[in-house]
This record gives sequence, C-alpha cells and structure tokens, in this order.
Amino acid sequence: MSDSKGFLHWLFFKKWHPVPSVGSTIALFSIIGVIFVALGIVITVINNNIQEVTIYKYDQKCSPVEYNKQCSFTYKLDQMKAPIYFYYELENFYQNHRRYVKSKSSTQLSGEEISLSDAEKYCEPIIFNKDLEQWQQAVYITENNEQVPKQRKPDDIASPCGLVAKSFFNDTYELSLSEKNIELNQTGISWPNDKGKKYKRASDSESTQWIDPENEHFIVWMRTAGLPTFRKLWGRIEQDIEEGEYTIKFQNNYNPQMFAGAKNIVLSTSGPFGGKNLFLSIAFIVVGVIQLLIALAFLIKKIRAGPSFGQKNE
Amino acid sequence: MNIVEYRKHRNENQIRTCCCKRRAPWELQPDRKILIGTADKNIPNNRVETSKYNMLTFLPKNSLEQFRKASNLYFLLLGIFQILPPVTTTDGQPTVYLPLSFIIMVSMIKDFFEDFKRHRADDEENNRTVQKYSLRTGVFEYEKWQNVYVGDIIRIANKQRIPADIIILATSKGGECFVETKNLDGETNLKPKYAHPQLQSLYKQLNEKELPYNLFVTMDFERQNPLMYKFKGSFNIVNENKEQPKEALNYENFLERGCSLQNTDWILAVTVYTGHDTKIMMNSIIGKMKYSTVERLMSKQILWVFLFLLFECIFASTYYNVWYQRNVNELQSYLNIDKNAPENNSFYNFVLRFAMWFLLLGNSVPISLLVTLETVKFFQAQMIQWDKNYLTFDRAAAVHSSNLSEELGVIEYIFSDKTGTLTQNIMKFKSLIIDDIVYGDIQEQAYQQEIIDEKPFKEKQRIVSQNVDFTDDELYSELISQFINKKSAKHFSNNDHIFLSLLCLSLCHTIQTELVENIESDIQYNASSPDELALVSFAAEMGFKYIGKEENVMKVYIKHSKEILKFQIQQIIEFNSTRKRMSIVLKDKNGRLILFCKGADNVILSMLQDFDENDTIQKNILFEIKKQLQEYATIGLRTLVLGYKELEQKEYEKFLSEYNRAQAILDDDQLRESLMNQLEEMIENNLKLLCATAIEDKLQDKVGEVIADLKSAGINVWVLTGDKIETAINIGFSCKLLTDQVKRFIIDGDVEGQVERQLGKVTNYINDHPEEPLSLIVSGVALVIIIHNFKEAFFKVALKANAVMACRVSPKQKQEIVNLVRRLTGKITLAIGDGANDVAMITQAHVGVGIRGLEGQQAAKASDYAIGEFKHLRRLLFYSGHESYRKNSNLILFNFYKNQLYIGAFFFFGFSNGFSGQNLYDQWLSQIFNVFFTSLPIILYALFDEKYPNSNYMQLVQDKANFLESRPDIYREYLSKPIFNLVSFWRQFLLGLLQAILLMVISFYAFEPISPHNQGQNSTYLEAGMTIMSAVVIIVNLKVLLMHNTNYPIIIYINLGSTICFILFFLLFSQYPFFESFDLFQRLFECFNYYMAMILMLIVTNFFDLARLRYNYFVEQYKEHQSNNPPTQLEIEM
Repeated sequence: MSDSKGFLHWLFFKKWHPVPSVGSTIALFSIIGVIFVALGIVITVINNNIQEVTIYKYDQKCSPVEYNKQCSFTYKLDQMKAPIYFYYELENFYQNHRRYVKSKSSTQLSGEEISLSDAEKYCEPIIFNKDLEQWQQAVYITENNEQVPKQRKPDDIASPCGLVAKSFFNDTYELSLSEKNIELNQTGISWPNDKGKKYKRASDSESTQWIDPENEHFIVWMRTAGLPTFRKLWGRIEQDIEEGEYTIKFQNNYNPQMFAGAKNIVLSTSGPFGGKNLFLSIAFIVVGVIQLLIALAFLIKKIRAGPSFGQKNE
Repeated sequence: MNIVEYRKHRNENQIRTCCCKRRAPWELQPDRKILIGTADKNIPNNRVETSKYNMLTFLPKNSLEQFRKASNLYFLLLGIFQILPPVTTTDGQPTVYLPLSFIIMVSMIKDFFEDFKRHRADDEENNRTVQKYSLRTGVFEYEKWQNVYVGDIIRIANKQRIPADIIILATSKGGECFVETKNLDGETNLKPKYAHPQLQSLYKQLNEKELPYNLFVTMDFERQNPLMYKFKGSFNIVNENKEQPKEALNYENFLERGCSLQNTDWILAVTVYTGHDTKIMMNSIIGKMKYSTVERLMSKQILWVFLFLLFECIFASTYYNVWYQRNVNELQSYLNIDKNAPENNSFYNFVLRFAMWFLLLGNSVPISLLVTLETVKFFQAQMIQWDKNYLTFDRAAAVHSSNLSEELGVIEYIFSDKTGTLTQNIMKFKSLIIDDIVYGDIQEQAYQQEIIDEKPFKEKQRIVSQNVDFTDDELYSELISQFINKKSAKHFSNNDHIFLSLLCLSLCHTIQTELVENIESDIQYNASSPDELALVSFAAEMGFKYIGKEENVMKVYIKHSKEILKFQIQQIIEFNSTRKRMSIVLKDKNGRLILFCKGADNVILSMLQDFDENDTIQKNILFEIKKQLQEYATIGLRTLVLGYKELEQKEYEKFLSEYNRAQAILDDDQLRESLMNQLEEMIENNLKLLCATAIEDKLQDKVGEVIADLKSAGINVWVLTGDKIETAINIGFSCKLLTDQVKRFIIDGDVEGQVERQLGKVTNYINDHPEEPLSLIVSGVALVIIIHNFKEAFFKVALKANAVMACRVSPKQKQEIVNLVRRLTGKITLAIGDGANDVAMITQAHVGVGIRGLEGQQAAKASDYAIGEFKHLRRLLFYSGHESYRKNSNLILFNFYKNQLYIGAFFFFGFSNGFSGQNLYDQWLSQIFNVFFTSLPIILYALFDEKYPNSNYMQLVQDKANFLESRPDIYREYLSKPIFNLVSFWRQFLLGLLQAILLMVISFYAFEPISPHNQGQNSTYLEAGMTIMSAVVIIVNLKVLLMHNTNYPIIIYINLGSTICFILFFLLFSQYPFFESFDLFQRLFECFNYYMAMILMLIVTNFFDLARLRYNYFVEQYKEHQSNNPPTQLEIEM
C-alpha cells in the first residue's frame, strides 16, 4: 500500500502484477507434491487401521439355495473395534438407471396423498398395488421392520409407488457368537434429516401404505446409488467383537440371480473420515509424485538451460 | 405542355401510391413532373422514420427478431424438449428458459432504448416547422416538416435548416444564396447556390404578394436517386397558355435536406424530393454489420461443437441400445419394462435416448457466451472512448462498431489514404515560378517533421498567414518597384506576368467570404480545398487581397495602389478529379473577357497555346518550369500551373449558348457529359502560361515513427492516394515507408503492353532475388489494366512487396484494391482515411478507421473507429486491439472449456449406467450455473486485465501510454502465433473433456462404494454429482484468476463471491425437501472425502494447467533472451 488512501482505495484500485519465476514454481510444486504424498501416506495408514471384511455371495452359503427362507452360516471374524458397520452390497444392480431413479413420488414419500395422474406421471410403471410384488401386496412393514400381514386392494394407488420402492431390499440379518446374540442396531442408519422430513409416514399409514416410509432400511434403499455395485448400511454393532466363528442368520428374500448379480455382506470399522478408501490414498500419492516430477522437470530444465531460463527480461 | 396535359400525367400516375404499401425501388419510379405550388400528394410526404418499432409492434416484432438469432432459437427448442414428458430430464420444467429469458431480456432492453432514441430523433426532425405557401389563403403558414409535400413552395430564413431537397425559386440576394453543407459532407465552408434568373424574377414578388392567378410553372426532373452532387431538371413557364422554351435546372439550383442557409435573409424554394427520397436519406448507409474474424471462427466452431454434440448423442443412444439388449432380462426384474412396451423397440428407444441426451448435453453450446462477449465488447469500446490517450483537441476516439475490438489485434494489411491521414492537409505556400524566375525558398523543409516557427518577414506590413511559408523578399520588392513605376493597376498590361499571376491567384478560385467593410482588416476565407486557401492567402500576403463577391462581382483590393478592382463572373467551370483543373471567366470593367485556369501541371501544360518552334525563349521557359516542377515533386511539394486566355465576346457567347443547351439535356447522361466536356475543353484550350506554384503538404505528427512501428509489427502498409506518383513517393520517403535501400518498381503504363512489360520486370526481379525486399508504386490507370488482365500476376508481386503505393486512384479503385487483397490473401485488413473518397474503402475493409480531419466527417461517420490522428493507430492496434484480442480469445476458449468440463463429466457418468440418460446435477442449479456462478469473473477479466499495467491502480479511464505500444514485436508474435484458431479452440475443448473424465472418476471413487461418512451412512449419485459441480465452479473461477496478468483485490473478491454465490444457492436448495439436493449441502460439508476429492480435482485440473502455462511462459522468455536481438526499449511517450 504505497498510497495511504485507506482500505477501500486499496480494495478497489490497487493492483499487482505477479511475475512467475522458476524458483517459486519449483518450490510450489515440490511443497504441494510433498504434502500430497504425505496426505496419501496418512490416508493409507488410516485405511490400514480400518478393518473391512466382505462375505461374498452369502446366499450361496446355504444349501440348497432357496429364497424366502431363513438360513444361517458361520463365518470366522477377526477381532474388531466398535463401531462396526454392517452393510449389504449388491453387484450389477443399476440403481442409477434413469427409468429407475425417477420412478418415485417425492410428494407421496413425504406423507401426502397423490392423485392418480401424479402417480402415473412420477411412478410409472408401478402405480397400483397390483403392480407391486406379491409379498408387498399382503403386508405392512413397520418402522421397526416388522411385517404385519395385511391384504390390500389391487386397484388402489400403491404407496409408496414406483420402481425404487418396489425393488426394496428385504433381507434381514442376525449375528451371534456361540449362541450369544450380538445386537445389530438398525436405528440411525439413514440421514437424520431424511427421516421425518423427506420421508414421512402418511396419517393412516397402516391402511394405505405397504411400508412405513420412516422405516430406515427403506430410506436407505430409496437414496439411489451412483454406481452399479453399491453398499447400503443395514446396521451397526456398537460393541467390540472378539475373534471367533460367528453365526449369521438371515432371511434370504432377495434373489440376485434375477439381475445376474450378487449380494454380499460387508463388515467394516470406521476411521475418523468414514470407511476404507483405497482410491484416495493411491490418488494422493500418484498426484503428489507427478507434482514432484514436474518440479524436477523444471529444475532440470533450469540447470540445463542456464540462469537465463525463466529470468524476467529487463 | 399545358395544364391539361399535366393533369393527365398526374392521373396516369395516380395508382402508385399508398402510404402503407411498400413502394417500388427507386430505379423503377417514373421521372417526376410537378406544378410548382401544387402539392403532389401521391408522393409520400416529408416524414422520416428511421425507427424500427412502435409501442404496439415492439413486443411481437422484437421477439421475432430475438428468435431469429440461431442461439436463442436453439435454446427455445431445447426448452420445448424439456417439456415433453417422455424425454424430459427436468420433471417437465423448461429450466433452460430461466437463463434464456434473462439473456433475451437484456438484449430487448438494449433494443428498446436504441429504438427509443431513434424515435426521439425522428420526432424532433419531423416536428420542426417551416413556412409553407398556402394556395388557398395565399400566405405563408407555419407547417411541420413532415407535412411538406413535393411541389410545395416553402420559405426558409437565414440560419434555418433545409427540410427537404428543394429547387431555389428566388433569394433575397438577387438570385444568389449561401449554404453550409456540414451535415452532408462535413465541409464548413459556405457554398453558393443560385436561383434560375427567370424563376428569380417571377417569384421574388411572392414574398410580398400572392402569385398571379394565371401563372403556372411546371417542372420536370429525374426520379429520386442516391447520386450526390447531381440534379437534372427543367422548368416551363406557362403563361396564358403561351408556352415558353424549356429552361434547364441543375445542381447549382438544388439544395439538399440537411444543409442550412447562411448569409442570406430568405429564399423561396419548391420541394422536389421529400422524406426518404431525399439525397441524404437515400445515401444513409444502413450500417452493414461487421463481425470480427474471431467471432466468425467461433460461430463456425459452434457449429462443429453442435455436430460433436450430435455425435455424442448418437454414441450415447447406440450404446444404450446395445447395452439394453444385452441386459434386457437382468434389467427386467427391476425396470419392469413390458415386453410390448415401445421401449423394447430399438428405433423408438434410440430416438428417445437421443432426445434425452440432446437435452442433457444441450448446454455444451454455451448459452451465456454470446451475451458475455457482447457485454465485454461494449465496455471495451467504452473504455476506448474514455481513454485519454486518444484525445485530440479534447475529442476522444469514437467507436461505432464495438464488435470489432479484437479484430484490431490481428491486422496484417493497412490501407491508408494520404491526404489528411498521413498529412495534415495544411498547405503552406512555398514557391512561385514566373517565367523562368523562381521565387521562394524551398530548402529541405519538406523532410522535416517539426513545425518550423514562422520566420518573421522583414517587411512587417505584410499579413502573415498560416498557409504561407514564403520567405523570399524578392517578389515583394519587385512588385513594389513596379507599382512605383506604374502608379495604378490600370497601367498594367497582360504582359506583366507578375501582376497577372497574382491577379489570377486572387481570382481563380471558389472561396467564400463575407464582404468586409474595412479593407485592411483580416478576412476569413472559407475554402473547400486547402490548396486554394494557400494560393489566395499568398496573393493577399503579396498585396492582392480578395475581399469578396457582391452580385457576381469579385473584388480584389490592391494594397500597393490602394484601389479595388472589380470583375464580373461570367462562368465558373469547377474542378473535378477527371478534369483536374478549374477555370473562371471574368469580365473586367472595360468589358474585356478573360479566362483564368489553374490545374495539375501535366494537364495545363498540355493545353498551352502552341508556340513557334523557333521561339527559344518560350521553349526555355517551358523547359525550366518543367524541370523545376519535377524537382518540387520529388521533395514532396504539390505543384499547380496557372494559365490565362483572352476571350472574344462572340466566341464566349457561342460557347455559352451551346453549353447551356448541353446542360439542359436531361434524358442522356452520357451525351450531356461528353458534350459538356468537349465544350469545356474547347474554351479552356490554347492557354497562355502564367506561372507555377508549389505548396507544401505537411505531415501529421509522428507519422514516420508509427509507420516504422507498424512495419516492424509485421503489418503491410499500403498507401492509396489520389495524388500523383512523384508526390506519393516523396510522402513515402518522408514517412519512412520507402527507403533508398529498397528497390523501387513503378508501374504506370497506360497501355496493356507497357504494363505487362513493367510487371514482368518486377516478377523477374522477385524470381531472381526472392529474399530481397522491394517496394511497388502503381498508378491508377495501370491499375485498371491490371485488374482487367493481370490480377493474379500483380497481386503475387504486390503481396511480396514490403511497401505498396497506389497513386491517382479513385475511391472505387481504393475499394477494389482492399477487396482484392482481402479476398486473395484472406488476411485481416484495415483501411484508414479521412475524406469522403475513403468511405468506400473504409466500409470494404475488415476494420475501417476514420480520421476526423479537415476534409469532413464522412469518413469518420462511416468508420468503425474514429480517431483524431494517424498516430493513434499505434495505440489502437498495439494496445487496445492486442489486449482485446488476447482477452476476448481467452474468454471464448474459456467458455467452451468450462462447458465441456461441466457437461463432459455428465457424459462420462453415462458409462456407469449404460447411458440411460440419468442426471448428475441438480437440474435447477445446473441451469443457472452458466449465468450466475461463472460469468462475472471472466467478464471482469476481459475488461480489466492488462498484460503490462501502467499504473498501480485499476483504471477505467486510461491516461498513460502502455508499454505494449513500444513493442511491435509482441504484436508480430501474436500474428504468427494466433491464440485463437482451430487448434487452440479444440485443444481447450478436449482439455475440458479430458479433465471431465478425471473429475468424474475422482468424485465417484471418493464416494462409492464405501461410506465416506463417519456415521457409516451411504451416499447417493447426487453427492458425487454435486461434488463435481462445486469443483467445476471453483475450478473455472480459479482458472480465471490464473489467466489474470494483473490482479486487483476487488476482482479476487468478486471471483470468490461467484463461488460463494454458488455455495449460498446450494445451501438454499438443500433446505427444501422438494429439491433433489435436499440435505446434500450439510452432508457434504461434514464429509472429509468431499474436501479430499475437491483438492484432488483442483490439482489435476488447475494446477497441472498452471505447470503447462508456466513452462510455456519460461520457454518464451528464454527464447527472447537467446535471440541476439533483444527488443529495443523505446521510450513510452504520451
């Protein structure tokens, strides 16, 4: 501030004309490069502390493979620290398909009744109860994921309607170690703002809806994933677990063969920033190294070309 | 022709008018015939309308206009697609109409105000009043201009403006009147106009009492036409059915709308052309829109981008179809597509996906680009107008087409006029040759550019005029001694050449002046040509002072004998460019007739009286004069030769009657003109030689320096002048266009063979010495032959030459040359000139620059940029043009990059869902992305960034020269390496696409398939999408900052503000469950991976860009260092 005309004058009028130099460029790239590599290493370390176990194609573990049956298998788990997240993972399921994504009614999900025309507009092709799966037509699923038998009129507008709701993933799981049940906390698995705001049960939910939209498994399902292989949170284990042969009992409802995919279970601990992310650690290290190489390239060029390289002309 | 016939004629032509019907073009209109004093209401009245709309038609007409623009129409269609239920990607909401209506509104408001201004101007014109003679009441009544019809008689008072094209019937000055034609041709001198003597005597009484009841005067004249300085007509006085012969009316009797009456109490006139038929309206050039090359290239590329978009759509829809067919059974389980549904039809599916993708990718044609560019150019134009560096006599530069600002940065050919452009058009009288004696000291002053102080003349009693630089006392002393001998002017005979020469100088001209009472006082001369002014001023300085004219009598005050000589004007044959001479026939008080003639030396010398072969004295004189004239020409003096001739009364009368008859020929232009030429030549022939004069043509300030700079910037400078070859060459030398080191070739043949030979010589030289520079001088006559026969050969040579001068070329030829160079080279041309004769070339060139000079405003009016002096061209090109080119090119490149980055990510997302057409961004935020989040920073960049700022502060109004003005080499470099071309365009475009892939990959893998949140919750596709969107906003705004050479805190804050604006909108949209992005902001805000992903994205885009930019920058600097020829640091001058 050569002129003492005050801050406003400086703000509006003062200008500077930065002239890049080779030195500053090398410094900039090497510093940020180093920071990146370091960050990458930190993330890798964090990742390594995160335990992640995937039980592939768990439905195949029962013999014979039958659907809509209960089934159980044992699986050896290492010691893990709480909280442990329990996910199911689907493969080759295009939740991001345009037809699929848009087939739902936000109005209906927020607890309001919708007209037939709206249902047709938004929920195509799943509009009426009769368009739903067989089991959905004869049930009411409560907020706590309990199924109460209930017969519905086939020509009523389905609530919730649409493809996303119809394909609701309805496997349930229980986990136990030597007969001792380990609690899977199924509350708080959705986003706090979703429940009760974007997803609200209708006033006479039980008689008009086949599922309570405040059911958190439902909310989780409705938030469509971006890639064809995705995980969705099913529950949380809020206690440390020891090493041992665990029994996983599940209701084998969802048939992945329908979409030539697979369903897996993922158990994962969490770091300070969420789950394990190999991509970030690799990306940071690679990008950091590239920057160091750039800095090196500038340095070599400078040494080869002599001091006049990058020198401002006078 | 009598009244009955006239009425019949009127009735025959009754059909052709109805005010609302479109009139036939003027070529098809019949010639006119009127009865003076009777309004012809079949011809539209004097109302003028230049406005395009009125209150009712504005909305429909302007809307139509708006959607005639391809881009608006495109987005309109896009919006319709958005409404169609099967394809809509936006819930049936035409979201694109949000930015579109904003853009159209801005442009409509602009149009509205422009038209409003035109309305106001029209109303002002139409509602002026004039006195119109009413046949009914027999008196003059005030009437609005717009209610004047053809045939009406009007009275105009002194200083009033002429409402329509009129023929003078009578004047207060006995048939003479004066007009100022400033509005027409910019000339400020007064021009005399005359009433026909018969009309004058008939109508002068009308001022007091009404017309005789039985007086009928009919007039025949040409149909309306745009030919200036021309009128052909005749009138017939029909008195008591006794017909009198037709009398001719010509341009001398004609006054154009827009002139104003001066020095005359009143005139009576009859209206002949009204409203849009007037000369001034028919000549108003409807500005042909010029578009810059950058903009044209851009439009072409937009088309390619559009094709690329279609290709993407085809790819996407094909991909989807194949993917769908392969996975149809798997998808069936959760997509529930009926076996019979149309979606299973490949063709339907293809069309549907195509339309969807078209919608999704439609924004890769940037909606805001055109508006942004227009806004930027408008303000750039303003900044040129505010720029104090362009001030000349307190007048700033004027920009008439702001479209062209970047075109100035890539000029490769400059075509310059000479007179008034390179030279000041101030003539200084330097020398007089009488017989074989040379008076006047010419020295080498023609080469010097500094203004030489007037040397005080020894004898103080002489008037010193700025148009005379004559330091020789000899002539004056000679005169004094002669007058001492002879006492009075009447004792001088025609053999006293000094006396006669000065008399000729003081009489042979068309200068206007107001008669002054006090003879000794200063006289203000109004000259249309500066040469005449110099001549008359010189005569006055020598004691032969022209003091004005009264009723056709010219008066010259002879100081030496204190007497006033009077001469009656018989005839003036005016100067024009083909005649190159003017003559005046005068009658002295003894009744003797004398003709004075002055003109170009070769013309006059060829018209001299033959003399005896043995007359060695005459021969010698002629030889001496020729030699001297040649010498003057080579040092750049303008030369004239004066001659005289005594006429016999009979001879003159014969000429006059024939001349008048020729003039009255109406139906055959060619015949009339050739006949008149013949007669003029006959009367002017056999002249006796009087004297020769030399006048210096002063160069404009810094012309040489600027031309040298332009040349070292790689610009070819061609001078196109009406002057003769010798003068042109001299000006060429003095302004450094020509040098002795460079070989000169002159092509001035006037027959085909000669031109061919001369051209062959040059071609051979070029073939033998391909590297040698050469300069080429070509004459107008040769050019006609060249353009007919040797166009290719000539331009092959001319484009090699590093200086080309074309001499004695007509305005039309100037235009033709510009056009040919433009066509043959494809390079960008600029034409600069100051006179009406440069208008054609100014409108022809890519950029026309007008100099507001002494020759009038016509060039400046027709130009795209009007400046005060030639030297401003340097700043206009090297600073304003160069910077605009750099910034506007970057702006365009940036806009395409931005949209590709933004839309591209979207496209690549398609691979993860089989190109089903799923959205990636919140659709509402997405539509305002271009207008609200990312356009202001780039606009500010284009307005305020400076490569070499010349002060520490941001300046709207520049007041110092910029460093760039001293660096022609930088300009040259940009010419050889344009920053905006096909390669750079597609490089930026593909860079955007490439970076889009990176963004897509980073954001998706940072969020999926793991949970990025520390509560274990999942993310959705929108989280990845909005991460990309926020990254793009930050990346592109940051990129603008990186593009800046100069930074201001305020601009950085506004830049940040744009990003903050996005954040606020995002936050707002996150509050309402209605929007897709509900709750997203809070989630991302808390998410570590969001920040990590952002940082990664910034680094792989901006930071890697930065590395590339810096590397290029360093290499460039290095090269500059290495080159043994470091740029000379010229001092930056004011």
